[in-house]
Amino acid sequence: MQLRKSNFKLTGRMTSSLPTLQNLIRRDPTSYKDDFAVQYEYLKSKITLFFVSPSSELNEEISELIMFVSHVLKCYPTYHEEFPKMLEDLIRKHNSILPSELRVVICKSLIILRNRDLYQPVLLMKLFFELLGCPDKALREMLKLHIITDIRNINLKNSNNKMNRAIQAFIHTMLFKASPVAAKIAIQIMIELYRKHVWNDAKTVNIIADACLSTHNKIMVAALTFFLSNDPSQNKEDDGNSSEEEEKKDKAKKISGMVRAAGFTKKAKNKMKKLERARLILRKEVKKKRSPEGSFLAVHLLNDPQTFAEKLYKELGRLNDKFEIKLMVMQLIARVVGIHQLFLFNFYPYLQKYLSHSQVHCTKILAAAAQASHPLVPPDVIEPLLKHIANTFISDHQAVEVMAVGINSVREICVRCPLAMDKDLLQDLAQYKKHTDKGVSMAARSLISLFRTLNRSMLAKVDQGKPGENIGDVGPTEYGASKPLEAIPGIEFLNSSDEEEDEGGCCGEDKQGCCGENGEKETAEPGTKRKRLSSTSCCGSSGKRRRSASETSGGCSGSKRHRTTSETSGSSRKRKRTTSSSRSRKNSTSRRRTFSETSGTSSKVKKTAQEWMTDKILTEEDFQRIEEKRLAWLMQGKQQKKGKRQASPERADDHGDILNPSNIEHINKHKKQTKEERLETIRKGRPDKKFGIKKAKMDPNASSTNAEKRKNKPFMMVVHKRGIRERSRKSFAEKQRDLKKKLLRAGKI
Amino acid sequence: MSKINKEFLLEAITSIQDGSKAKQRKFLETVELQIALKNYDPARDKRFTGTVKLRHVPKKSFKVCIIGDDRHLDEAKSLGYDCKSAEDLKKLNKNKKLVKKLAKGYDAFMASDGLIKQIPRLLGPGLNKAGKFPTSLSHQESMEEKVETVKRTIKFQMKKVLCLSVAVGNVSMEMDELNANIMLAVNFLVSLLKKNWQNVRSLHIKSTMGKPHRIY
Repeated sequence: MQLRKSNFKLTGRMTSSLPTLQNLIRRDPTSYKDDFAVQYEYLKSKITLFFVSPSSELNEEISELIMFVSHVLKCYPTYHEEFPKMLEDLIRKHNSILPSELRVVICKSLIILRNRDLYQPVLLMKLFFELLGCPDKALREMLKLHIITDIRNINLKNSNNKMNRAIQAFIHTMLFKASPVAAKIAIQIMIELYRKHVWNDAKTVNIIADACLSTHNKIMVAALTFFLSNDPSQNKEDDGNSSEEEEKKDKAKKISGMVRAAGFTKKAKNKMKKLERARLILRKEVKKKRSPEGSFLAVHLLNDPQTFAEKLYKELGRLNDKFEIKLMVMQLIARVVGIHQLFLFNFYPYLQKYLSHSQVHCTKILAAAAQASHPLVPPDVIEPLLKHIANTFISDHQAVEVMAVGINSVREICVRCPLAMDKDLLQDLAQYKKHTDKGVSMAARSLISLFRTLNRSMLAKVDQGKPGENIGDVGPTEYGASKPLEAIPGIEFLNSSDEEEDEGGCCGEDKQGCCGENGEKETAEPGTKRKRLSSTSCCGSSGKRRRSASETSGGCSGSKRHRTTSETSGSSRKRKRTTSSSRSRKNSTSRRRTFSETSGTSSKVKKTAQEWMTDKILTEEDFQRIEEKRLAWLMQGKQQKKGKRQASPERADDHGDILNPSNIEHINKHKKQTKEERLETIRKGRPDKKFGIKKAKMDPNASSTNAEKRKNKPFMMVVHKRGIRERSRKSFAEKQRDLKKKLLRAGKI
Repeated sequence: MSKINKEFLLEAITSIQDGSKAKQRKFLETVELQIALKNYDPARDKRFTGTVKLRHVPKKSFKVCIIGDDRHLDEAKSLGYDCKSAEDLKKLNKNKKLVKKLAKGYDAFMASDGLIKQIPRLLGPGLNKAGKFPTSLSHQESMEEKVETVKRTIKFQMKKVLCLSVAVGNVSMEMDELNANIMLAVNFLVSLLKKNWQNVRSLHIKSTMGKPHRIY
């Protein structure tokens, strides 16, 4: 653009365009002061002109001038007040008549001014939030992006609480007053900031919660999706990696130990089976630790979940338009009720209304029903729901998928509220374990295994499993019953392992005499971890080991004792070392116990567990050992002797916060194939071509040639022929020569 | 290596007891365990809760209210516990303020097993909000024993901040009783944490008006 004449006079130089002038001003602001003043006045006059007769050319001119002024404004403090104010007024008052490009330019220049600290951030934020309502999508997108990055930058080093609070309060008022479009974007901004860990406080969450109750569907949906998302981005980002890797390493170590242990035994097949089982359990444990269910959810931060849930429930009655939104509200209510253990008894019959197999998204509603049930709800509230599911979903004339989904959801409800189940229904459902469909039978089996841990007496005798096999009865027996723990679950392992190892230790002492003990005590600490690993690694064979140990302590003939100890020599010595330190700490009491009461009944074990808790402060290693023993105990599983029931080493409330509908939809992993499908896969597996070249016959109906016949003739019929006999008698050199001749004839050499 | 020296702990306990004797207060001072955590993000990691039964009753002024049927009411009256019948609860009429007042008045509630199912309906969510939902009480169990259990139970609950404190005893208790309670509480707390001792920044014990003693 050509500049006006005055420029030439003033500067006496060729300044052909605004960018050049801008450049010059940057270098030497004082000497170009007048030029700037001229341009500034020019801009003002153009703006007044714009209101009289707007034109697209004028727009362009104005926007270039605005950008120019905002870029060099820093150099001229006299204008610092005036120019931003002018822009603000312009956009605030004439927002609707300004053309779109001009609006964007004004906002951009305001951002530039704010970045150079010529304009207060709070004022700008407020202005921008107001502008969010203007019917201009490009502008809104730009503003949203800027607000997010700006708030993030402000809070980068340390959070600016004063400003945050001001903006949050402003957004809160906006929710109910501003236009729905603006409010929606404001909510989106908040959500984005929450996700980026900039505003992850309770205030933000509660404002978003208020938005859930908005009368405008769009705002509502934005807020609802926020609460319903699992925030997987939250925990995966940083912290997870290191610990995950550690776990993986740990697991690999454990497994390699087991493999080694399995390799040393003769009966490999049995060992390998156990190994497989152990692997499975370990995998499950690691998965349990890592699962996103443990992660923290925004729902936890709600100030008053009870009233929030009640309001949402009221909202549910009001909503009439879209079922999807209704479903989201249901899911959110369920989640809030489940996590905070609220009382909202009307909600269950309400859900029941929607529970039929022909309902759209019925698995999601089932999941919501399961999510909303928790142990504090009186069982008689949940029971009708459970019965309803059983009646409508689980009957023989339903499709197998429906049945499987039904049983799965019954299981999920029972995980959270086991008291709602009654014996008859459970035993009825358990009978589906032999169902021809795999999904149904799997679902029924999982229900059975759940009740084996929770309350095995509810199951029919057949389904109860072996008495020692799994955990006893973790579940509550009656509503409101509380079972405060008396000791850390699984602490008796510390105890039992000690007993066992003490025995081993005793025999070791017998052999070596007591002299070695002191020296070993000192060496015990540094290498403990590795040794302990090896000791747990042979856990699979602990039964056998125990036997051998008792043999030795029983003390038969000297030679036999010697042999058995040498068999287990490596491991037992290590074991002994690991325990010697703890043994010395526990000093004589434990040893006396092991001598006198080697067959410790469960009550005695319990008592000692309490002693454990009060006698000493458990160390890091102790905790590690408990964990390992617990794992080992899980792996041992079926090996337990009959009638020896142990208390559960798990905490009862182990299930996570969120229930995924996929838990319920998990109908069948591999569908059973039909014969055609099986044949198809077989055919796919076959190699495409046979070896060698098959020449097509000229006449497909012609009989086979003599050469072909010779090839296919049974070998035993031709073995005595001269040619063949001679071939076998040839020496190597002759064979080589013949081959060469043949190749030469074929022209291959 | 044990994280807390036994002698050191005993020393701290004696000095607490001496301190309370030196300056007698007009009430029975409680001994509490204060815990500060580290490497724990309350906004990200799972919050833990756990209840454990201590060896000895930590608080003497622990008030239990029994909500029961006639038989339980008689028994409670004879044992000298506060009690309420279902009619009393109905009188509250689900009034939020009254329920809150009721919840504030007691440290714990117990209800007869026949009655407990109705309590959410009678009282609404008030008791639950205060974290004092009743525990059930059947006719087979002895009431005294059950109340004793409730009195001995303490709850660890991590909320929004990285520190928590629980009452583990009072100054009138014997030294080894206090010691046992503290040991048990510490052991249990540490077992609740994700990385056990690595999550503990410090442990203090103090009496209500006395000086804090750092034990870890």
